[in-house]
Parts: sequence; structure tokens; C-alpha cells
Amino acid sequence: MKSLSRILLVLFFLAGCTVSKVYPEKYYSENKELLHQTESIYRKASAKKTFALGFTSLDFSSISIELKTDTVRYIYDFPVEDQRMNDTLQKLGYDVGTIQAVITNMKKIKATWINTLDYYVDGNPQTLSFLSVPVKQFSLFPLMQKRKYYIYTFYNKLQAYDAVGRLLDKKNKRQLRRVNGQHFYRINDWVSYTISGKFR
Amino acid sequence: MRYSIVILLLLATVSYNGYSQLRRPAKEFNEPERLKALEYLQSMGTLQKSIYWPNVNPDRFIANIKSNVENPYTFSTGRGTSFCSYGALSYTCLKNEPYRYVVCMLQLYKNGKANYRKVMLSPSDSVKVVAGTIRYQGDLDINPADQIWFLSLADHFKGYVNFFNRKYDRGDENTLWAAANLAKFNRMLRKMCKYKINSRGSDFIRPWIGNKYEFIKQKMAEGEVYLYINNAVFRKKNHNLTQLIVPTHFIVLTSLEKNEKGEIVVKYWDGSYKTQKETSLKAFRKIIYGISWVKYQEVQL
Repeated sequence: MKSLSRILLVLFFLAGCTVSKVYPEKYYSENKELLHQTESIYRKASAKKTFALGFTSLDFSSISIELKTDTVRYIYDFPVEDQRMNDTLQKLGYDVGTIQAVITNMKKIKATWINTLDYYVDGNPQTLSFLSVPVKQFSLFPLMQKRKYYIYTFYNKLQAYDAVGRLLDKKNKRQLRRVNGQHFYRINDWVSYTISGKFR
Repeated sequence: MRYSIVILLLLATVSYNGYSQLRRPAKEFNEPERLKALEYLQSMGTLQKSIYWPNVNPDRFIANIKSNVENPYTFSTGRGTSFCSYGALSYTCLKNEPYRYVVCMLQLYKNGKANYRKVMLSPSDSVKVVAGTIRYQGDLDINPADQIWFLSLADHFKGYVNFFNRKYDRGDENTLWAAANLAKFNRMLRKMCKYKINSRGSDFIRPWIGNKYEFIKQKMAEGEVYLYINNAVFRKKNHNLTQLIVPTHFIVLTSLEKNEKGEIVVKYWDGSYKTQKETSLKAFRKIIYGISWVKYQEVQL
């Protein structure tokens, strides 16, 4: 009885254990070309008509799309191969081919979310691209597993960092910038990363 | 005995009067009030910089209020704040009484405190210093009047969820300091708008309603409906197999339909966007923890 309770205790602790390979910089350098290509296609396409794409399952079988018009944001969930997705995109005036190219690239680099975020410098609007990739994780008890994501932000202007590589506010160089409530770290002058429990 | 009867009659009169003064929102936008609010803003001319709000530029303040009155559904509650309940409250304020909102905001800016009906908004000094400097929250960054409004509301209204963090410190707009529970949300609507709010549900257990879709549909036909939902399930932010089973978000419901596949098409407002999302009936039942509604004014023919 005593040993059974010990086993249960050990299992309980193991349930909270997840083995993660957390190497955001390594992942970036290995997939640099595809990451930038995806971001570039996405940025061009979303500059015309804003949209966001995300995979709601980790087997990349279902997709969620956010289509933003001036007044309404439409959110649709589809199986990836569903023809209705293309019909909907076409109906709302989106370039289906470009969006499909972004989806294909996202599957290749296993990205689960891409969108555009607004931020302001001296009251002037700027945009950044926000791309998330799930960290490879292993858990004995997947039910208890807390997912982690590499989040990469792509800027179209040079960014400032402090001595330890933390992203700084452009106006106030003593203040760390937050994106989606998180601090970011340097990959290079144009790209930064963080690790988050949320993909969007 | 005679005095008791008089007192009872008096009390009855007071409570009757109280009931008769309860307000109901209109179905449509209050256009006459909107124009009155814009005229009032115009008549104010330029504002002097307030000594109470050191980081709020008066021109940007006025521009922000004007934009809220002109485009009432585009104001932003920020990207990661806990202001969703105040956003839902502001939606009905701006839709039904934009003039009162404008008068209150100008008073608040000039005097550092203001009444909205009988609610005295008198924010703390820490709130006044931070208003106008909140950053990294998207459009809220450039809207100082919205920062003043949301921070003042959050500083004034308190519920049990705010028990461990009642005093504002910088960054608390993202924490439990600004959060709201269902009872607090209903209380805010009662006090600010004088609505006779009806509500089903709670902060932990979903309401026992047989057909939620039909129930909500019926309430929407009669009035404004607000939902307290589990947004972690409705709009996933991670791929964890187990998700939180508590409500996290307040929304204003604007339309509810079933499509040809039998899915529910929910149209709602939750801070800067009117959103339309399709969801299964099962998920729809699962996400709703609180339903609050107030009946529309009866149209006089």
C-alpha cells in the first residue's frame, strides 16, 4: 500500500514534467529563409487586406482565419482542405493564391499563427509581423502538458536592444518594449523572439 | 401605529418612484444625443491642460472623445488588459447616452473627478499619473481619454476578484486589479446606466438553461444582451489539451443566428471590433457562464 502511494506520488510529479527543446535562435537560423519568405508574402498580402492565420490543431488539419474589414472582423474555422475556405476568401475579396502560399509555408516551418500587430512610436502607427511556432515537447501525461511557443516578431525598421539583448522602446531607451505583454530578445536588428505559453 | 402606516406608505412611494426611474436602452443608436454631444464638444473650444492629469494632452483628449462619439464602436480596450467589462459597459453608454458620457469626461478632465449619474468617479493619484502613459496596448496607446475612462471605472468599482489587489500600481490594467466578476458587471450597469438588469449564471458554474440558443435569442429580441464567456475555449490561445473552466471575458452580443450546417453564428462586440464567429452548438453551450440582459424601451406608436 505504501509503495503504491509512493508510485502515485512519483507519477503525480512526473505529470507536471515536460521535456522541451528550447532553442529559438537555433530554430531561427535553421529556418531563416522560409521564415522570412513566409513573413514577406504575408506582409505584402495583409497590407492590401488585413488577415491573420492560425492552426487550431497541432497536426495542422484545421485552420482558423481572421479577416478584418473596416467594420467587422470575421473569424472562420475550417478543415485545411475544405473548399469553403477558398470560397469565403474569394467572396470577401482576398487573394486566395497568396493566402494558400502562406498556409503552405506555415505548414513547412510548423508555424501555428501569423498576424500583424500595431504599435506606436511617438504617436505614429507602425506594424510588426507576429509569427509563432510550437516548441518540440515530450510529456508522459499530455493531458497535463503546458504548451510553449517560440514567438518571432519581424519589424520593417531597425530596433534597439540593451546590452543583454532585450528589445527596447525606441523613444525611451531605458524602457523595455512589450509585445502582447511580453519582453522580447534580439535575433538581429529586424527580428526578435520570446518564448510564450500562448501562440497568439 | 399611525406613524408606522405613514412610514410604510412613504417607503412604498419611494420604492415605486425608484422603480419608475429605471431606464431602458433604445434599440437604435441615440442619434439626437450624439449630435447634442458633438455640439457640446464643439462649443467647448480648446481645453486648458489639466493639473489632475499631468500626462494627458488636452487636444488629444478632445480628439479621442470626439472619435468615440462619432464612431462609437471603434474604441479600444487594449491588447492585453482586463478592461473587457468596462468596454461592454462603455458600449451601452456610448450607444444610449453619448451626451452624458461627454459631460462626464470633460468634468473628469477639468476637475479630476466627476459624476456619472450618482456614481462619483474620483480616481486615485496613482491612476492620474499613469493615465496617458499606458503603452504597448495597440490603439489604446494613443487614446488618453479611453485610458482615463477605463482606469477611473476600474478604480471605482470593486468586486471580490479585486480583493487581493485593490490599489493601483503601474501595469495593473493587465491584472486582477481591473478584472470583473458577473455580480460586479451587473452592478456597474445598474449604477451607471440605471438599468433593471436581469441575469442568469455565475462565476464558476454555467447556468442551467435547457436551450441556451433559444433563450438568448429571445432575450436579444427584447433587449441588449451581455455574455460572460470562457474565451480560452471560444478563441484558443494555446493547444493545451486541458483548458481553464472559468469565464474570462465579457462581450456585447449583437446578433445570433444558425447557419445551414446548424452552427451558431455569433456576432459580438468586445473592444474595437465587431466580430463574427461560427461555433458549434456544443461549444456555444460550453463557453457561456453568465447572461445579463436589459429590455429595450417600448416603442410608443
